[in-house]
Amino acid sequence: MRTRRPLRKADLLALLVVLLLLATIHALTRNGPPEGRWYSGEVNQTVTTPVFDVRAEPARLAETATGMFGDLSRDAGVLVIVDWALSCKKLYSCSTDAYLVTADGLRYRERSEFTMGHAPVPEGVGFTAHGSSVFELPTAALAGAVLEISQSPEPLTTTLAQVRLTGVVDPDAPVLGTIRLEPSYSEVTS
Amino acid sequence: MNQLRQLRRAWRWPGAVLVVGAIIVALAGGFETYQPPRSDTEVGQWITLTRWKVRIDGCEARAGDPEQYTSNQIAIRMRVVNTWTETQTGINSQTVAIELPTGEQIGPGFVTFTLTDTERSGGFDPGLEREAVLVGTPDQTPDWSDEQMVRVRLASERISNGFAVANNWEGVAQIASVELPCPVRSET
Repeated sequence: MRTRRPLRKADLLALLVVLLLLATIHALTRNGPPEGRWYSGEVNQTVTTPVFDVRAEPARLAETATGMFGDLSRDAGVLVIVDWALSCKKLYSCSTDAYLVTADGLRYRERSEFTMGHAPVPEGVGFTAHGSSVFELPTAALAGAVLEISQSPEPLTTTLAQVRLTGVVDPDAPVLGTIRLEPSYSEVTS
Repeated sequence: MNQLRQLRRAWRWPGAVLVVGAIIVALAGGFETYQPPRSDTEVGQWITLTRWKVRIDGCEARAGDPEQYTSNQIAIRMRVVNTWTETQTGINSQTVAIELPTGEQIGPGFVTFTLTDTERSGGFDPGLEREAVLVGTPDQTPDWSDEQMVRVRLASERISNGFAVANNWEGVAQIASVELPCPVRSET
């Protein structure tokens, strides 16, 4: 009859290490990305954060937006086109998410139909990217809408820079017919 | 005394496995409590889900043709409004299941949720009503009469912080089921 190997200290240690690893993964991921630190500013003003700088121009309203890979026409809402620039200060900070947040707190993400080729994505530290984001909002939600640019969370990121810009959307701006989006581009700035 | 020692030795590993299993289940958020399904909803009636208002308007099925490289398909036409606070990519397929007259069930999961508007691919903005379609691919060839019914089951959701996952949406309980005819169309 085969005799069973007695439990060794090494076995218990291995079990302990596995449990510790599971507990660490859980502790690191249970609360999702860390809270961001907010930096505020206004339209046509460069807002500086430790990881990137942001500047946005007044938004244009349109019936239709035409991009490199297709068109989008307004449906139930109105298209809001924001031209903005992003200067990268740290390599990991160059990926961002753009939202228009209405006065009652609803968050409208930039339409992903236009992110490729149009959203500003700096090549790296020292570059400033210029580009556009397109949003679609109900007309009644334009008043008081705020542009938010957030650093995309990455694994083991401990702090996030987030910028809030007021005055970007003028609800009384004329609604133009078709706006052709320019391709995004980068320039060396530092 | 000796018997107790033998018993302890025999249960050492199964006991360890049970303890580790219980820890993993506890870390993942524990087990759900059972909630009985709600009553039927009519076609064309708005249904309020956790993040959506949904109105199922119709259904069509199509048999696949190997020569044309097309697969069996069932398409549920619907109108949806994102009632959540943020733009959503689509309805969580884990909250949808389709029962076919053949007895086959597609899902939860295994359905795709797309906009019928071909211009749009960038998700559903809050408060804006859109036309959309739920598409499933049955294993069995659709072959039923126009009077036979398909049943769509929809579930509520909640945000879960399970093991190694944060802010993950998961289905909780069936909240509505809609029975509707689903004529089989031939490929033209």
